[in-house]
Amino acid sequence: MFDESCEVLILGATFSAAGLLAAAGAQAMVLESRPDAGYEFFGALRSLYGKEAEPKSAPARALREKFARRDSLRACAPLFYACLRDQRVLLSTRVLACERLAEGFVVTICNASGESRIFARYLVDTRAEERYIAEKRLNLLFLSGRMASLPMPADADMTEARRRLADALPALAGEDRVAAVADEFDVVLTDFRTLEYDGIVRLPSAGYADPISAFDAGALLGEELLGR
Amino acid sequence: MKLSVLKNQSAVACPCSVRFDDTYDVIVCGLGTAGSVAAALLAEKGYRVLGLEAFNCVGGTASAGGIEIHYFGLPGGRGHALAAEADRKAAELPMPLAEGRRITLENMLLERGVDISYDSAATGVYMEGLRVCGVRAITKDGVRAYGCRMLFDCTAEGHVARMAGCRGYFGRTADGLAQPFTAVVAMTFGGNVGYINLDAGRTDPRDAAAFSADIIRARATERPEYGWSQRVLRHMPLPGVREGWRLAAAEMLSAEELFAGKVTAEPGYYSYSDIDKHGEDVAFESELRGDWKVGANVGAWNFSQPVPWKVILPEQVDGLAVVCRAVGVDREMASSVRMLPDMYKLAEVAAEATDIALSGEISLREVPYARLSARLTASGCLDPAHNRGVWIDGKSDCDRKPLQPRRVEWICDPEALEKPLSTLCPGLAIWSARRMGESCHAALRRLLAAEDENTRKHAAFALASAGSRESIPQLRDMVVQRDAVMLRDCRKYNQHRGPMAIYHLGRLADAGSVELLGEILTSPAEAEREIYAPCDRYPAVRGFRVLYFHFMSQSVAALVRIGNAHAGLRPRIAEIFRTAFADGTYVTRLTNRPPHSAEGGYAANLRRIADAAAGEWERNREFAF
Repeated sequence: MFDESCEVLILGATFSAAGLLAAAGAQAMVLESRPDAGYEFFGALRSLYGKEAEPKSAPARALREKFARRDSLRACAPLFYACLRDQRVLLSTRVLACERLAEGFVVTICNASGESRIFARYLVDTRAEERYIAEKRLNLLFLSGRMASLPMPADADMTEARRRLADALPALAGEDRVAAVADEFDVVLTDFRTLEYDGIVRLPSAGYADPISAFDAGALLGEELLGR
Repeated sequence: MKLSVLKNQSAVACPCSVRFDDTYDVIVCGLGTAGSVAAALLAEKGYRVLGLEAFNCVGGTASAGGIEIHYFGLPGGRGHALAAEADRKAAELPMPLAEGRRITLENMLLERGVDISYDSAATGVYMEGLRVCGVRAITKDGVRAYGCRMLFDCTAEGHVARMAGCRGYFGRTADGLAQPFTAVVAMTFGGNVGYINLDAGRTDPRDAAAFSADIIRARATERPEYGWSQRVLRHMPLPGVREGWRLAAAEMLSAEELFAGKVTAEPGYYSYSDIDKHGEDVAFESELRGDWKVGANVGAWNFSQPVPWKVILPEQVDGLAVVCRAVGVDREMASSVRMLPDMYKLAEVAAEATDIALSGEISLREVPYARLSARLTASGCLDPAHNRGVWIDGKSDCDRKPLQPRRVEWICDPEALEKPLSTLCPGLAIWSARRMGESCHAALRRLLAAEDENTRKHAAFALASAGSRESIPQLRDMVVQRDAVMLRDCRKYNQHRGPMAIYHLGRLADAGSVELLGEILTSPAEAEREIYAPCDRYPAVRGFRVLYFHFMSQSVAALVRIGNAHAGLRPRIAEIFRTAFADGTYVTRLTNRPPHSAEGGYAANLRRIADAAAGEWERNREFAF
């Protein structure tokens, strides 16, 4: 009836998802539509990386110690990916359907291997839903090391963002050159507390100020779910 | 009507009825290098085009993958011109080309009226019999059904063609593996942005779980030798997959046929590249590639190849064109037909053929070649001048000195072989001897006794390439000497004489070499030889003893060939393999890179290849009884 099963099925390969994995291990599984992970911080070119955070969970404290030895959040990417290594993570994977059962969820997914069905007792969505986005920015990193942040309407998509970027670029860059443009929006959410609707737990990782706090929230949620 | 989807990597079709949410003339799945150009060309012709793109920008590996440049390929054609125009505009922006392309390629599509659906991917194909008539897609607005007159698979991996049940190929014969992929990292170098593009291990993009795990492991790998902490900007989101699934097409491009002088009567364009083999374990590639790259040391020489226009057509399925590196090419040509200019030209071939088919209400396979070639020739996509033969090409030679590109003219006079054989660039003479065959044996036999060491040794390679066993003593001597002299025919990938000699001994199935090769694999003292010490030639590959690996891997391949040819030697060779690989310590002698890295993978694969051969011999023995 099912191709796979797990206790906790996590949507989005985010820092919160990595925290959940740290707590739940093989009992959790992550589905991500993008080909990368941690994009809400790395892809968004956010710079705060949680040196000053005071995480409550042991995995988050351990990750903070490792991060703190690096010069920037950008340099922490291998440390983050190491948290996902040898875990049940499917990148470039889409959710086709989700069915609620009395004892959990059946999620139909599609990826390069094809369609399959996963049973999960809990479903946790760590992505940022459009309806909760209050502010949206497109971050840029310049070769000089300078950062810039281009405000966007809350409903802007990446096409709109690129159009606005092209218009604003001469003034933004000056004599400088862009080194990297974010491929994910830096967002402020109206409400990013852990919420539970229709049995789906929502924990939008992008809502946290830094990746360690997002990771910590995931780890704490994992401990709570597995303790239920 | 039926809906065909993938399950466990196989196509499964179920009857269905569907009301399409919208209908397009052409749907392009994947707006990467080929897809974006194809969509623009079709929209220019007035067709209603939908582009489904899995990521949030167009350009694929050329933008979100951080692959800014390509080597070789030839300009020409409308598709190339469109891409060049987008690149020109991107270069005017104060940002790296890969970033600018996201803006300018997208504008190219929007200005031409292409409907772009980001964060969208095909999840099934609607078919009437063997004809594609639509696609089921997951979009950011949910699951949608779109009808179309033509579907383009520009996913790079042939995902849509696989859904439609098209047959295909994957990996090399020896072990089923494809070339290593890269996990590209953007870094700052000297006030500019550079994209580090190192082999990250092997993967199979058809297997979602394994592919995900491989990408994650690659990105978890530190690269301290690049001053990571100070320089890194980011991992590029799209991995750099060089080789994946390949379509069984209506007409295939085959290296064997190309080298034998058999070429298509219906070219769509001329490709131009070397056989761009990534991965140090060339010992386990095909014999054709081995003869070219190892046996003659001309692996980085370029050659043009007429690409059949029907490489985009599935054998049986209509209404579908595969327009990406998953086209119908064999594994050798897959290494070559994957650069940006190839993708621009494939896009143009597909767009023009589609225009002829849709306007004439015929299927793609019914497109008259005369009409298609007239269009492609008029645009410059198909240019007979691009049929330029074999060239030594590139910006710099192996000493990083400026290289003067020059056309290769094969030697036809056996007496003219001596001069090039006396140099450290004997590749021309070795491959020419292979072409001449027996007619050059006498001349080469005389050179085996030459006073000059280079002439003597290189004549041994040439004689072996020409099919003679007479140079076996000289080849064995080079192995005994662990001859580490590197030849210099190529700008990169140059071979050392010792592993070349082992390769030839294997090709000649020399029974007398078994103990000699066994010593390389099993002797504890072998690893201590000075020739295997790290050297400047491989500064980018830390923690991997490349030359030692070449001696070992060629020895494994040669012993397998010898065992295949001499059943009586199999027990002894199997014993050598057990001694060499039983405890796995050979891996640590070769590399301290992690098991999942490209280098760790090469090392581990030696044992797999040896075990597979020994197992096959054992099974055959059981059969015999």
